[in-house]
Amino acid sequence: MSADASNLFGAVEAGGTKFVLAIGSGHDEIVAQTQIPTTTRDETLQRAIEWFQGQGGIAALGIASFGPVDLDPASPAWGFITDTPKPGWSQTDVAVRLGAALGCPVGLDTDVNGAAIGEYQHGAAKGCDVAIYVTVGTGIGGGATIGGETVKGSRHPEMGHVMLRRHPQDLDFAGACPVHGDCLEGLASGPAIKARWGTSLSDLAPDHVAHQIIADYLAQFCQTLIALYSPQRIILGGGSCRQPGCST
Amino acid sequence: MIRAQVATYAGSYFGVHADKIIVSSGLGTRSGIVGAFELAKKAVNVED
Repeated sequence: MSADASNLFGAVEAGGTKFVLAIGSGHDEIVAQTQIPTTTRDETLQRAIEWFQGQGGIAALGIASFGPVDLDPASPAWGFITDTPKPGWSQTDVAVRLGAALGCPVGLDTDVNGAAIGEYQHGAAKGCDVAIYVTVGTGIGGGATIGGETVKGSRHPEMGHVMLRRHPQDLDFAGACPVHGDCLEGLASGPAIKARWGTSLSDLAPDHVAHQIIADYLAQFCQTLIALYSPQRIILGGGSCRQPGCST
Repeated sequence: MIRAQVATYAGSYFGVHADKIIVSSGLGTRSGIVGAFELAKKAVNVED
């Protein structure tokens, strides 16, 4: 490792459609950044490894990954994406493989926990003892920080799969979640919206009832989070929360 | 719309100010990569 490498860190935001890769001394001093499509696991991880190797050495790598992810440091499967519904990615040794190839320590958390840490350290949750980051898009997920540490527990929260009271104008839809049907993700994610109304929320008129229905489900979810965590901040990210008819 | 509905659901009982609690991202689409840098620093015990 070169002298400069001791001051440089690698960062990976590993998503289901793309990997964002960055290198720098911190989030505000990024010296290089790129993104690659998430294809097969071997191709994607090899491309990530080659990109980092081409940038020179790094002192450590941080990975915020789609999941589920084994985050238990005592587990033999630590660092693995486990039983994901994404085809071909179950039991993928994402953290171990990248760390071994780049010869550096790896810090790992879920994608939403990673975003929650980012918001706690430098964004809308700065100074908040309890904060929750929620993303609403193709899927729905949430990560919580308490005292600056992410909540992991026996595995990690799967906030998008809470069950909700059905909106009275949305009683016939079975839901789009392959596991639960009409959990929050099954009712309010992008695929769930498209399954009901044939398009995304952004393509529907602001006065379309879909906005009321989706806003109601997200409000129920926020109320649940408030009741459970008493957070100082709930940060809503993702495309659905930015639509004019359904905005925060 | 979400904040208003949360106020309806939670406000009267919890004394919650939804306008203060429920906010948009301060980092936008960068929150994940910013968090990943923090994870890297934590792996080698480097603090900001």
